[in-house]
Amino acid sequence: MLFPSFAFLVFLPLVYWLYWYVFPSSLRLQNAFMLLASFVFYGWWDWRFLSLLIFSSFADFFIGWALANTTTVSKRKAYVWLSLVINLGLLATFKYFNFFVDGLSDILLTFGMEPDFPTVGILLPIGISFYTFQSLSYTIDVYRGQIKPTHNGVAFLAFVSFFPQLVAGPIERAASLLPQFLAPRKFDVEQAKDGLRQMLWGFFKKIVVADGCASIVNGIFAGDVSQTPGITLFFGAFFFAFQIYGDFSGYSDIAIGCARLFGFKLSRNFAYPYFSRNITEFWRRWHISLSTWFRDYVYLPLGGWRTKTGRFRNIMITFGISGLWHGANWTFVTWGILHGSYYIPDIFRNAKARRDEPSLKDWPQMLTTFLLVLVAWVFFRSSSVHTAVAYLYYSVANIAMSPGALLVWTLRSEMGWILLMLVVEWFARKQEHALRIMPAAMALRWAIYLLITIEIMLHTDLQTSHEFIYFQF
Amino acid sequence: MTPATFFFRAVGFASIVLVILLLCAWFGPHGSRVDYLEVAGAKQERLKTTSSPKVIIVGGSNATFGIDSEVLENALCMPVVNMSLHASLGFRFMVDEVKNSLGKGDLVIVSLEHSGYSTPEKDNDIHIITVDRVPSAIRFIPWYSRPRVLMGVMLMRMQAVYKVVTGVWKDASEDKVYRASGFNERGDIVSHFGLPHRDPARIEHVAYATPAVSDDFFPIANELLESAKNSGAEVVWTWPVIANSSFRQGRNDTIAQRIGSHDIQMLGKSIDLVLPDTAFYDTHYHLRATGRQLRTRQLIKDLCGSGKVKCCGDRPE
Repeated sequence: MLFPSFAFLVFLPLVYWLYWYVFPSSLRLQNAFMLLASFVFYGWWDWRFLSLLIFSSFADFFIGWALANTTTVSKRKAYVWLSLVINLGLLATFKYFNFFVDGLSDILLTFGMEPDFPTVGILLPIGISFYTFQSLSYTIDVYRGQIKPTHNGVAFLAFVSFFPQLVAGPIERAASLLPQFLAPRKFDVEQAKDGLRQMLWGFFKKIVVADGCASIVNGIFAGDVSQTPGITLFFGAFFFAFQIYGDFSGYSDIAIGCARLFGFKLSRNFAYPYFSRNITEFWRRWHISLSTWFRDYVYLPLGGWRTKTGRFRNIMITFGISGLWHGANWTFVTWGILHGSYYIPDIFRNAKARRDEPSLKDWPQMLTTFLLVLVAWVFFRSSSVHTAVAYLYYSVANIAMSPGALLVWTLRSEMGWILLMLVVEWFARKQEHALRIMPAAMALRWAIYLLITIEIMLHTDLQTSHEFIYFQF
Repeated sequence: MTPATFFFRAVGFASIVLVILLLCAWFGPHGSRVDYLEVAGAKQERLKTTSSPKVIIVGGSNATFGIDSEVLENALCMPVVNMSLHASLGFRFMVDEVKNSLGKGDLVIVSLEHSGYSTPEKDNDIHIITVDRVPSAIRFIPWYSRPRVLMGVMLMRMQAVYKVVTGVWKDASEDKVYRASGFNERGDIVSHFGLPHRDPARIEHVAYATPAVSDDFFPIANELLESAKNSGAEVVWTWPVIANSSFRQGRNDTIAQRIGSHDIQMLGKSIDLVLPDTAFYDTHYHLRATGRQLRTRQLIKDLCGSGKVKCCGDRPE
C-alpha cells in the first residue's frame, strides 16, 4: 500500500480507530492487531511476499532465543552466522542474484571462457533491504549482549513488520523500537497532533516537490546528453537532488508521523542534509538510520579506525557496501565510493562533523558540499557508469550551448516549490521537522494546513501512482 | 484530549477539505479538456433504445476506429451499436455495460486488444475521466473501486478549477480527433478520416504482459456468455486488427490456446487482420478510413463464413 493512495486514506483512520478503541485494554491484542494491520499494508502490494517477511522474522526470533539459551562461544557464533546467512542470503537471492551472475560471466569472458549462466526473472520484494537489516540488527545486538532477547513472538513480528516504516525505514534498532511494543502505549495528543503535521509536510515534500521534479528529471536523463545544453544537464541533476530528498525524507516524515499516531517514536532519518557544511556532516544528516547501521555493524567491526589509513579503508569499504545496498548496479557502488572519496580531505584534516546549527555565513561550505553531493547523484540516477560519466562530461562541454536555458529552468514552478521548502526548513532547522512550530491561533494554523493540503491535492497525479524511489531498494 | 476527540477534530478538518472538493465537483468544469469519453453516454442510450435483434460491438478503440458499422449493418440486416471506446476501460467495464441489455437474436462481437485478455480488470484514470463525463457510468465500475473513482473525479475537477483560474487551459487547443462530436450515430469514430498516417514512431509495440490471458478473464467472459445464453443472444470473439510492425503470431497463438481450453473459439485467423502500418492513424490499433474498410470486409467474411450468423444483405467485395 502506498502512503499517497486512496487505500491508505481509508486504512489509516480505520486502523487508528480499532487500535485505540477496540483493543486499548490489552497490549497483546493491540500488538496482534498492529501485526495484522502491517501484514495487510504489506500484502496489499503482493501478499505472496509476506511469507519472506514472516520467515525472516521468525528465523531471527528463534535465533535470538537460542542465543539466550547458550553461553558456549562457538555455538553463539554459529547462531549469529546463521542469522547473517539467512538475511543476507535472502537479499543475495532476491536482489543480487543476476548482478553477481552477470559479473561472474563478465570476468570469465575476459579470460576467454564462454559461460552460460542462467539469470532469473525475480521480482524484488518491496522493503526487503530494510526489514532484513532491522531484523539482522536484533540478532547481532543479542549476540553482543547489548539487548536481551524477547520471548514475545507477536511483539517481535510486529517490531519487524511495523507498517509505517516497513518498506523504506527508518531502519529501527531493537533496543529502540522493540521495548515500545512490550510496554503499554498511552495516547499523547501532542504527539498525535505533531505526528499529523509531520505527515502533512512529508506529503508536501513527496507529492509537490519530489513528484514535480520527477517528470523533469526523467526527461533530461532519458535524452541524448551529447545534444543537451550543459545548463539543462546541471538542472537535471539539481532537480534530481531535490526529487530524491523530497521523496525519501517525505516518506520518512510520513512514517515517523504515522507511528506517533499510535504512540510510537521512530528514529529521526533526515536532518536537513542540504544545509551540511562538509561531507561528514552530510552523512550525519542524510538517511541517518542507515548511516548509523553501517557505522555500528560494518565500519566499527572492521577495526583499525583509529589510524588515518584504517579510517580511509573502512570508509571506502563501508560506502562501497552502502552503495551496493541501494541497488544491484555499479552506478550505486560508484556513488558510494565517490562519497567515500569525499571523506579523504576530512580524514587527513581530522575534520569532525559540526554539531552547531548552520548559519547563512556558512553558505560557501554548504554550496560546496551540495555540489559534491550533486555530482554523486548523477551516478545514482544514471542507468550505467558510462552514461553518468558522459552526463558529467557534457555538463561541462556543452556549458556554452543555449545560455538562455538558465532563465527557463530558474523560472520553473518546481523551482518555486523547492525554494519554499528550503526556506521553511531553514527557519525550522533546529526542529525535528518543518511544521513543528506553528502559530498559536487555531484559525491561522488550520489555514496553513488547508493551504498545504490543497496544494498537495492540486499536484496529485491521477494517471500514475506516487511510488517512492526507495521502495526499489 | 482523548483519541476520539482528536480523531473527530481531524475528521472536522477533513470535512472542510471535502466541502471544498464537493464545491469544485459541483460548480467546476470537467476534469479533462478532451471529451472523447463523453460519448459513452450516447452509446449507452443507443444500446438502451435499439430493439433486438441488433449487433453490439464490445471492445477497445481498435473497434471504435476499425469497424464501419453501417457496412456491417447492411450485411447483417440488423442495427449496429458500437459500444467500443477505450481498451483501458477494461473488459469488466465493457461486459457490465452490455450484459443487461441483450435481447433475443442479438449478436455480440467482442474485439479486445491484447490487454483485454491479460488485464481484464482495470483500475485507472480512464474510469475517473469517464465518470467525470458520464456520471451514470459509475454503475459499471466494481463497488469497491467507486469511492476511489468518485474521489478522483472531485480531485480532477478541483485541478480543473485551478487550471481555469490560472489560465493554464487558456491557450490549449481542442483535440480534433478525440472528441465526442467525432463519432457517427452508430458509435464509430470518423473524425480522423482524411488525416494522414502519423509518424511510425508513434506506433507502439505490444506490451508482452505475463500471462497472456489472466485467470480473471474467464469469470467475466462466462458472465457475458451466460447473460447471452439467457437472453437468446450469440457471442463471437474476434481478433483486433493490428499494425504489421507490432504483430506477434506467438502471442495470438497463446491467447487462442488458452481461451480455447475454456471453449472460447476465435473467429477467423489473426493473420488476416494484420495490415500495413500505413493503414493506421496514430497507434498500432487505430485504423484510418481505408484500413477500416478492409477490416470490416474481413469481419463480414469471417462472420458469414462461420455459419453462426445469417448474412442477408450487401456483402462488400
